[in-house]
Amino acid sequence: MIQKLAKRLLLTLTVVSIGFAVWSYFATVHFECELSSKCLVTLETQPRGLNVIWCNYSGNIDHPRGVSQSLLNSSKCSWFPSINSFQNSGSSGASKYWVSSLAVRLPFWSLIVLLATYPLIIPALAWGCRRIRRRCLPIYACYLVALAVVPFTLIVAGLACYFVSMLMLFVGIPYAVRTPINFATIIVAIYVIAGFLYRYLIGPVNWMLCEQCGYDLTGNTSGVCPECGASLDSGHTLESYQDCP
Amino acid sequence: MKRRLRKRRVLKWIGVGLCVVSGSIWIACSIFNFGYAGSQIGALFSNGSMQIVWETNEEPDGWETWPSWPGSRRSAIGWPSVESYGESLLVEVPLWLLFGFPAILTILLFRMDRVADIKCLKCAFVFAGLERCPCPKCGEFT
Repeated sequence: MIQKLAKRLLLTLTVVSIGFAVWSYFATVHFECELSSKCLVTLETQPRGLNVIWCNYSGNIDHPRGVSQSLLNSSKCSWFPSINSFQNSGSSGASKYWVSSLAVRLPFWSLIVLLATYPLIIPALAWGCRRIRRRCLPIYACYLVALAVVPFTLIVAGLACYFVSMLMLFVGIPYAVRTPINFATIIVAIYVIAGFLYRYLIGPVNWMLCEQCGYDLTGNTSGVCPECGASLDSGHTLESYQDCP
Repeated sequence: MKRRLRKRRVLKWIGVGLCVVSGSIWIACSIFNFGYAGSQIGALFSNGSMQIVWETNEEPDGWETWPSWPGSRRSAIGWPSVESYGESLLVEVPLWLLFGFPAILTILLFRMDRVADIKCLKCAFVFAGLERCPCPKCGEFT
């Protein structure tokens, strides 16, 4: 139930972000919001992605506005997500002020890939891998496919880890704590990717299990899984896979 | 069969070596900065990434190590980039990518070996206490 809800929510967000990306290609949106008395958030869409400037400040609101504008003007959204922190201070007349800002640049492709990973990309990859295995390709072909998929999966894992890292910087976790967590998230992501590739591409497959629910279909002649009701391919018998290399 | 197993064993230990080297450099360069300046090429390891510069136009002075700049502490997860400044070309390669690629392949090799020790790859017959090949159930040479 929770999985289904999460999938639907992520799918909806993916569609919304695709629409937003298309819209941003034709129009620039500038949005400013004062979250509390001393916190200003500025958002600007660019053809490549989103620019978000988060400012905590003291003094007049014109100072963070000026800083946000200069940060937005200074650089365009890059191909990869980035987060940078800046400190500005000075004095206007008799009063002193400071502005502490975080500039987040979020390309749309990274947002879409990250949102679509769980509801779309993982099921599509798993489906593709199952199709490849069912074609009874030699195991070396499966290794080659795994090798081709590794860079893409690494980029997705890197995006997820980078978002965790951004979140930590946003919350204000110090550098000495953030760095070991970065290493740990990357290592966990690598282990998960290897497990996925092994399970779907390289490891041994029990063809007599239902693809949907894993029910043991040995001796099944009806062509329908009695557990989940999924219809099976006509060739779903152990004999049809006996000749696989 | 034996030759194939031996090749896989060599490959997986090469993978472990690569992971150890790239992982150590990755961790080291997020604490220290170190770099090499040559006559044609320079390499800088800092903030978890490796930056290679061609046509440095600087005096070659070999390897150098220095503590991380306090202001330049970025995330240890960077992204690849290519930039050119006049005649020089700067290529930035994040070391987590250099660590991750051999790490995934090495984990796969280890897992494949573990299964080869236990089960037949075709019919999943358990080989415990038996010679590896051929499988007594399906006759497969896996």
